[in-house]
Amino acid sequence: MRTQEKASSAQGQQPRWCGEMAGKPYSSILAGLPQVAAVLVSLLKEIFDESAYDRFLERNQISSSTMAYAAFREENDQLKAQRPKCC
Amino acid sequence: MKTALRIVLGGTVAILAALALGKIALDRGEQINAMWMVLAAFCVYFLGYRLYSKFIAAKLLVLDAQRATPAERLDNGRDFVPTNKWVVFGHHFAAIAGPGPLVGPVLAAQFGYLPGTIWILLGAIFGGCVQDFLILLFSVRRDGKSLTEMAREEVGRLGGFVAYLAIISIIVILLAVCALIVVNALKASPWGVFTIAMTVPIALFMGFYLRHLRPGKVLESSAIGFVLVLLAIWVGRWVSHNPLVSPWFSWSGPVLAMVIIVYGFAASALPVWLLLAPRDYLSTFVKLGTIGMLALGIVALRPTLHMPPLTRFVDGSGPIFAGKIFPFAFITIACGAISGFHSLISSGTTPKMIRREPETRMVGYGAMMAESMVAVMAMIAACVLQPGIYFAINSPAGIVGKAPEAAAATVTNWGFPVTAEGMRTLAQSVGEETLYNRTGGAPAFAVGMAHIFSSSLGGQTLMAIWYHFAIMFEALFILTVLDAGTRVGRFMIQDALGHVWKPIGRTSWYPSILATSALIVAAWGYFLWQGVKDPLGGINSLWPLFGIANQLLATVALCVATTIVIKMGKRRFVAVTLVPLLWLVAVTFTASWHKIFDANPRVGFLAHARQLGSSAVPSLEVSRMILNDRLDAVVTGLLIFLVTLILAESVLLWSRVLSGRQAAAVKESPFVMTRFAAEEQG
Repeated sequence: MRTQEKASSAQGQQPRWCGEMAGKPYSSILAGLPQVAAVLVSLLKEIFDESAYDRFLERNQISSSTMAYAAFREENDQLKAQRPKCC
Repeated sequence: MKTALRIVLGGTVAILAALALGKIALDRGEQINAMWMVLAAFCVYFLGYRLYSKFIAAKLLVLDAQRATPAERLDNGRDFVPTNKWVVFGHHFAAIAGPGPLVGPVLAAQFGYLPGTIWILLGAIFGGCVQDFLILLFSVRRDGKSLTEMAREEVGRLGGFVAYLAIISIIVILLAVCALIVVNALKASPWGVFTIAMTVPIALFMGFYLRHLRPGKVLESSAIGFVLVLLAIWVGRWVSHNPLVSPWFSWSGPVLAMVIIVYGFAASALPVWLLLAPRDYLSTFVKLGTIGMLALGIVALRPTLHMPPLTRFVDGSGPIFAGKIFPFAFITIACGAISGFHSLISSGTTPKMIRREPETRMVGYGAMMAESMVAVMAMIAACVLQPGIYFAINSPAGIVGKAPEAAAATVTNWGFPVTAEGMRTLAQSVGEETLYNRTGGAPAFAVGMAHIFSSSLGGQTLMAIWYHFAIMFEALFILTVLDAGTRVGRFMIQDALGHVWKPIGRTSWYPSILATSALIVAAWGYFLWQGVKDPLGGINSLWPLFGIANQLLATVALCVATTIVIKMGKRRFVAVTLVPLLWLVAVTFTASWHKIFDANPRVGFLAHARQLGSSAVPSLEVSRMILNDRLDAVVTGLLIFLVTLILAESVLLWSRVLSGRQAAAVKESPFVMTRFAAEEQG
């Protein structure tokens, strides 16, 4: 049983797509492109902490604002400060 | 039918791999195209992933799709978050990809392109990828525990202590060598210094934008920051040509070193998040974009490698760093083949994001393959240069002399023709006064990258812009490694000293912050200063020291992995970790012995100190250099001693477990059924 992939966010469900394109008609591959793009956007949002900010807002039941972002930065920077960056 | 297709595909890739490896290894007397290297790499990675990692996953680790990961069980929306495997893959890759895989291969190219390339490919498949994969999986099965915690629990208290000291040591040496690379790339370069200086106001603007204009829109602000940085590079040309402004940004090595030391202290001790966080994002943005662009550039240009497969310097007389191909090629390239530092990432953030256990294979093994590919690209960027130019840029003044004519004549005498006029023209085309004695690898990489980019886009007119883009890219993300590493080192020291005196351990107590920041900055700052003042360019002594420290950390990680494998009752497959472990022990111990005791003063620290003591007129400067040599020897010896301790403790433990004198019990978290499997079936 293959793992179903989540593409748009860490919590959302997406149809399976990866590794199943081989042998499919060209149109199926094209149809898969938006999902590839969705995963790429999720990746960028995760790397650049936008997803973390969304989760922060959701966890604290607040909407985005200057104050909310300042609070998020404080929490996030505490976590980040203890992570080494690789050589 | 499917099986037959797989066999045909696998067989075809194996034949292609053999063909490409044969081409790059056996071709003599003609220059080969870089695409052979790319093809060899892709085929080797394909086979490694499809066959070897699958074997490890199925037979040794028995990955369990039914077992809940800590990201699922401890999901808190902060650090424990079940995440899509492609997203974790990219996140992990972004975390492990640093300056190492770019600089190491450039330096190792002094042996020719062949030794480094073979080591990058085989070292990654059988060493680095295995280490990253296993440590990631073992951390996932232990609630995301760190390498130090796993070493303490699985090997013993001594193991944990040694891992801690090894990590601190590697951080100190890493930061010193990183800072030295930046100094050597930016000294006497007003264009480069101006561009990097401009990243400060740009980052502050991004911080303001993020906080007040569009809260949380990091991608948007990073894209704006990127455009502003490109603009700064453009203005930098004017700065470098303006006789009034140019001197403001033309700094010597010692001045740059002092500025970087002050920057490191400020980044660790002061609340300057408004500057650091946006700059970190900007650096990541540039890093990912540049690596992608370099890959596209190589494919589009399909450049010819001018460097021969092997150079005369395999005998150990290399100008960039001294020492024979074994062991020095294998410690010079660490991050592209096997890097102990990766085990910290694999047991840090990543295990807390893994959604399903089988995904550790793609993330751990696969991301390291991608990093290895970056190292192959760096090797290509170095080897597309004419060898004479490569050696003229990378050789220190202490070897080739300071005068352009003398340096060109020395390099030509080595069999790599280059002229002073040719070097002058090249320096002018990249907007620099000179490219001689730019040790550290970054400028040579930047020239190679500019050559590839300008050949694909913009021609010679954009050569200077691409060169300074490459220098900015390297300096920017090395500086983020520097400030992040200084903070991590500070936290580690606070944590350790907190056991001796509690207030020191309080991370918000300002006297403690100032004292421990000063301690960590003084440690790496000392080595940096030593490198800057070294007539041999510093890289000759510091890069091997960094390579040894990094590989010793990998030795610690593989010791922990082997111990867990034996305790799991998988002794039949222990060669998977034991063979790379034994290889690393052979490499690091031999390299350390040479660095301490070799009779050649260019290799051995003690021989160099003796030479200085006997030949030079006594002076404060000479005494300082002798002290530095002895200190380097002591540091190397200390690292080897520490790793010997963890090796001895591990071997004793293996012997007790294998002889049945000790129960083979691993300390994994209890099995909990994943809910994701049911959701998928439903």
